[in-house]
Amino acid sequence: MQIPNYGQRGDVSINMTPMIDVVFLLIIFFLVSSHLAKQEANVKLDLPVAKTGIDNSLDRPQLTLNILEDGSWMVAGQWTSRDRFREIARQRLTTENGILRVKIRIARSQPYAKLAEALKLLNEEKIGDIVFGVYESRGGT
Amino acid sequence: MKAVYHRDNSRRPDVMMTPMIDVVFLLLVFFLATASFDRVEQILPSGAVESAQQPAAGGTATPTEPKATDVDEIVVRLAMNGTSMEIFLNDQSLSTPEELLARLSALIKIRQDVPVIIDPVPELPTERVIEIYDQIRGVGFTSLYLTTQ
Repeated sequence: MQIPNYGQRGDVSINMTPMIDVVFLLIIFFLVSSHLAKQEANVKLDLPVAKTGIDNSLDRPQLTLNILEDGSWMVAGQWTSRDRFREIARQRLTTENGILRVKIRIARSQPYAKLAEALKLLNEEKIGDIVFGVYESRGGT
Repeated sequence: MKAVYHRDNSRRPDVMMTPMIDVVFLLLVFFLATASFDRVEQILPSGAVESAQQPAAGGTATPTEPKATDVDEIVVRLAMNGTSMEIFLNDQSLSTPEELLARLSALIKIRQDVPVIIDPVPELPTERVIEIYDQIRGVGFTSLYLTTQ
């Protein structure tokens, strides 16, 4: 009978190939899932174009309000009434200790009255850090 | 004596296709997943929002060279005439956005911190408001206000 020799430790080797395979698949999984999560927060909208836009640094807590083509409001993928948005903004302002940036993403075709309505609400809630979502201007368009 | 047999592998290298296809496929998925085909989105910072109270626009329009005392605030009113946009700078009608920019470029040389109040009519498309807002920011003004009446 052949007796297995377990005493030889020097022969043990780690096969790297399946480990790299698995690690790589995990990286892809997390990249894709985070990408999809971002897409969910950012509803597809035809935003205005600007030349002086800057990159969103996300250096402070941010609440994104989407004003869609039909004039309805959406926050984090959920249809939101004006009163509900006011409530959300108040809650976030409390939890973030008064530091909150509100990003307004509005469809470019919407009349200014729709933007003014949101601005007025934020003004009433004493939120002054407001930014507008815009697309980068391409070649002066 | 045992003869040693050497296979001649030099002519036909043994390429293993399976791991290569694995890796190529993973790379393909990786680049497809990370590539973004959307337009680059940026933010346009706003100064603050002017409350419903209309700012007092300067009485008589002064088409001549502005003086330092004239520029306590600049009111840019945006109105609609049919489908086209009308621009008023402190109640003085301007024909084009370029004319507005030329006037503002002259004003910023006098005072940089003067607040600019943009007062669009409600029915004006947001696209046009942001366009003017962007152009005024481009001139160098940093205190920009939008009216919400």
